[in-house]
Amino acid sequence: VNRRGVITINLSGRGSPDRYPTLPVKIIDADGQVKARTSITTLAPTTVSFDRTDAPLFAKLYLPSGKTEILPLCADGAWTEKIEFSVGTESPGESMAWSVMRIDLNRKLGPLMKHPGMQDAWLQMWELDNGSRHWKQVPLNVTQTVHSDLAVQLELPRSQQPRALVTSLGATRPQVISLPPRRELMVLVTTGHSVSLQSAARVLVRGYGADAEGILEFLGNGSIDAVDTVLDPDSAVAKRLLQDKVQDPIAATAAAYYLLRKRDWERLPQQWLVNLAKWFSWIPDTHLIRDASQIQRGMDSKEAPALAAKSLQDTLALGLPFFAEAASLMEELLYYAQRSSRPRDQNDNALIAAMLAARNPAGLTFGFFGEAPSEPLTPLRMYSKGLRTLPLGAKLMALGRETLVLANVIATTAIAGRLNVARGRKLTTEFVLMAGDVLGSIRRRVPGSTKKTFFLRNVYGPGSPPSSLDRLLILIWGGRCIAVALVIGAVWQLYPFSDLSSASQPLFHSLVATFVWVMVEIVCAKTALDDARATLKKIEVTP
Amino acid sequence: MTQIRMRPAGTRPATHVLVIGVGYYRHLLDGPEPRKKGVHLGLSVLESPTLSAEKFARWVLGTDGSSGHRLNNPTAPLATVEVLISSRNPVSLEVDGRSYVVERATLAAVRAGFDRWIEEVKSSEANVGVIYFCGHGITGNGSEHYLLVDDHGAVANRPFETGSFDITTTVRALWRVVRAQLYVFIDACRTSHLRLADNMGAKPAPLLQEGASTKYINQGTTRIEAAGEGLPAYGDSNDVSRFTEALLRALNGYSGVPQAGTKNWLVNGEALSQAMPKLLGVVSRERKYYIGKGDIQSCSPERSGPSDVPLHVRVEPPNVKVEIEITPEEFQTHGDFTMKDLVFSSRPPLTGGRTTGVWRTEAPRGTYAIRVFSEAKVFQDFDSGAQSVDPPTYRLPVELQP
Repeated sequence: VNRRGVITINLSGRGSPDRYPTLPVKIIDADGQVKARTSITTLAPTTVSFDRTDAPLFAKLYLPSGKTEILPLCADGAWTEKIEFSVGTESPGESMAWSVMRIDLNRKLGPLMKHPGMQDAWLQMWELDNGSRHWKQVPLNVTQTVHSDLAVQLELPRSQQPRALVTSLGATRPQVISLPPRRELMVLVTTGHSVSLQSAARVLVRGYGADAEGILEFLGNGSIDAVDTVLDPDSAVAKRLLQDKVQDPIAATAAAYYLLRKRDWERLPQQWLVNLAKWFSWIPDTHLIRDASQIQRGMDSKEAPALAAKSLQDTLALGLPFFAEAASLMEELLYYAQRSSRPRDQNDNALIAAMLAARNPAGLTFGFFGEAPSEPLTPLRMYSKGLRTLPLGAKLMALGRETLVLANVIATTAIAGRLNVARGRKLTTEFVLMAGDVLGSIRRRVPGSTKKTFFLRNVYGPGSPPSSLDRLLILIWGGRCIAVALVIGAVWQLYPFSDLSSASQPLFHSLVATFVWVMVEIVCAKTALDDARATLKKIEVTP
Repeated sequence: MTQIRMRPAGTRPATHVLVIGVGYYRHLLDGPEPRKKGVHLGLSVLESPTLSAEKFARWVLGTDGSSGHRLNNPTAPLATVEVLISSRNPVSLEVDGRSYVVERATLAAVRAGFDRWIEEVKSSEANVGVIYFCGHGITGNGSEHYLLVDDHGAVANRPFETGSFDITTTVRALWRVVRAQLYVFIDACRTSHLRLADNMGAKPAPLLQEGASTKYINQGTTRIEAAGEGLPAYGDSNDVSRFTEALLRALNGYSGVPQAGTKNWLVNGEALSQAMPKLLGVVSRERKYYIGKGDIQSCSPERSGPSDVPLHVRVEPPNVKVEIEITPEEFQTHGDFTMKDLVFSSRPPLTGGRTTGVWRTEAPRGTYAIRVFSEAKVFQDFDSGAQSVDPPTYRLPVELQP
């Protein structure tokens, strides 16, 4: 009896097929034992053979986001000859469907612009002048913008210069994100993450090519096993990336990162890395991989510091490394470079050290906290900058902001038990932030040129900033709250809580009731505000 | 010296574990001999690391009566455990009827323990070496991670002369020296400290120093740190830290990949890398501590090397925490769910539902069909089709139609 089975697996992807990377598929049995493995693409079906068993078998597809899909190979007792996986279907629109590979869209995501601080969110483009090694801010040219409630996607034109995006999204420090030259790019701002418990807004960059993105996303998530399948020595992808003449240098770089992590010296000849860095010298990562590989293979300890220092220097001259994988190599090279005796290396070393201390990748893309590509914001720098450079006005504003947050916490605590605490807190936070927008006093400082800065709220049109009606409502309610607060404050002076006697308890209770009433009014105002907005707001484009 | 030997010297291959837990820092705030501000760095004595390290050591040794689990690696059985714990009260471990009083984790003791550990691990390339640390961790103006031990600040004028070491460089040096599989678990903060950054080169030294002249020979390393760059790790007083809790859960049944040709489940680098970020999120959420607005303590496992020798082997399939999220919310109290195992059809289906919020259950990993239905026909039935339910967590959002 022929127990050998063959199945054809098709992968259909929403939108253009070249958007999706090569993905691993395993044929598994009931116990999860792997019977066969292959990789599939949206470009052509794949055929895989396996040994049939009496127990059911399944085909399991692995996505870089950590998700898996599974299909049975038997239906109604008969072996299936063909199965099809579909990807990208969860995306709200075709143009963003590629992101399904990299984030978990199955989870409930809140509207992007409702996240704290997103009304002030901005993006800047910086370019490196190769000659002077000086970064300068340039206008952020966007060829097309697509947005939905959940995400914004900006399409950026090709550039010959090394670039970096500087973003400020919500409550965190500004972030510098490396962008590769010579490629048209898509920048997605979303609250989606591959680990579904995180929720802060973040940036995903697309444009490296689907293969590179797949390999590096798997590596970043610790799924080396998945890359083992995709880059199996006999696979078409491995041959295309590593053996043939390099046609996709960025994907080849991604494959080199994988092989270096695996310490697969045999498949990663040093000469191949030398050639890669020579032929595609505009990719900073190729220099780091070549030199880190040299040091990892063992070399004269006296020569390692000079090599490492030069490698880091070359990288900075080319901009920023493209990929987050570079950080561990930079860390290693820096260790040796710091032992270099050349004084001119020390500034570069300090800059690299700061980038690493402020490290904050944007998914698979190299990134760090910073206000400009040459100004990483390490926690220590943030601290000293805050102390030394903030003008008095900014300090007072920061103080005001902290006071508002504190008031929010106190208010939330006060109404606990009467309202759902989480909802009360969220609404109060929104109210405080909205009031801040109106008053214009707690909006954060934008470093660099504001004229060249791209504000995300502009994408959403006039619906997002407070309308005249919003302003009026907020001022009315704000005024009432202040008046009540003044009364409470005055009474507090007369009747300090420490002296609270049974005679003053009715007064105290009435004050608490007043306070709760004010909070309820705020919630009502928020509801009214939402209703008013829904009526007045433009209809948003949902791609 | 607190080396607990479980197998005769020379047993190969074998697993060798180094456990360091530091809570009662002598010279930090609240310690018995506190030093001045520039020395203690604003850091104080901790309670959680000692409990965490002790719990991890007891799990390794199989003396943790509460869980009944222990390290099990048939191909590399446990041979030695080096335990160093600085606790307010002395810690002792009972192993096979013998009592071991655990030595305090001073730098000298840590160095001596590490030296014994590395000699054991180097004895065979089929060995498995484990380093576990729980205590204070800091960074300076670079990315090296420095771990503080019992006697940090003993010499007030040179606070980094004793009581701290560089784990980042130590691991990198291990790759040139140790062929065996390594697991490195660092349960410590990675926050920056100005004093260290200002220290102009007087940085803590690694436990192992190597040049560049030798090749990376290590066959595989899984390194998991409890916090991202510049971020804190958390522990609750009088309780095991969040990271260690997540690690123990991963080891005790919420992670694993099938071992080829057997019914066993391997807890290796691949399994831990998949499980730890999610489990750390689950533990953080259970303990209701969120960092910032919505983000939680997260870790980024790093794997390297060509092989992935398991740390632990389980006979039972891993468990999965299942969450079914029903929308619209009003249907949550009107519906039920069943999870039917598509492979072992004789198993009774898991059932639940009719509660507000997310529906939760636990299931052995497997392939299931999940059906959501309403007996009163309040909404249309939902059938998920085949779903691969893999550890440690599985979540199914279901949008029901009236």
